[in-house]
Amino acid sequence: MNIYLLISAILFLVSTYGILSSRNMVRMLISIEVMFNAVVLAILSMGNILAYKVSPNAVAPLISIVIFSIVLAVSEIVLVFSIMVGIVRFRLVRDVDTEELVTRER
Amino acid sequence: MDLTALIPPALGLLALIFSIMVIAARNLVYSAAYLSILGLSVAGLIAILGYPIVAVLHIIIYIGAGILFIVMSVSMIREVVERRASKALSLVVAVVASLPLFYLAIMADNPGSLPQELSDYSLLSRYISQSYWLPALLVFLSLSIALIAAIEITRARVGRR
Repeated sequence: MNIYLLISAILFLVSTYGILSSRNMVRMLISIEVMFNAVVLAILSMGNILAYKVSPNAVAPLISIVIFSIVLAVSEIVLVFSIMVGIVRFRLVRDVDTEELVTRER
Repeated sequence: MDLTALIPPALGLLALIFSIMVIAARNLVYSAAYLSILGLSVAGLIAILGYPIVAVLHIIIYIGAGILFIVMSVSMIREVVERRASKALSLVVAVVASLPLFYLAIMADNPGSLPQELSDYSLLSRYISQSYWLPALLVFLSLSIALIAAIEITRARVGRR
């Protein structure tokens, strides 16, 4: 049993539950960040398995992908949270509830 | 007994506890703060796996910049009484969605840390500069555009389209 993959699986479970059970945009996005952590851990532990079983050179592309994904995750955080603050500032909705965004009258 | 063998399970337990606290916390600022501790424990696990550069990047870029931004943004948003969706259905869907990862975790063996000879990051920099120059350029551009867009959105005035 691979303990790192097990930890990432449990993190994935918790984050999926957090996304599905919440109606608050901020909490959903924070749950997506937990999921991102789980996926990074899973990719790197799979990289270790690949390094031992397939080829040592198989690890470098995975590290590149993870580094790119960390930078892209930060871009996503910056953009989405600024949109959210903009929505609340412009009083488009009273709060950051997704149901209110969907049912808002034009 | 080798105490270093206890570090990965301890960090994993810490990550699991704080992931549950992220979901369960009522205050969103606390939720974001718990996310930073979760990120630190995941960075520790990444370092133990044999990727210290990725762990350092995770701490500096992700926790240092990203989560700090989340905390600052959340503190600008009014706290609301949160409505929750069906918990039982969410749990069932989450368990079904994560079953493949659990299967993989049980079937895969534990290879341990990355061999020392694979921790040579000149190979990684060669990969990024030669084989992955286009994704690196796109990532740089996307981060720049995201930052410019974020500044533009937050500076925009009400009524200006």
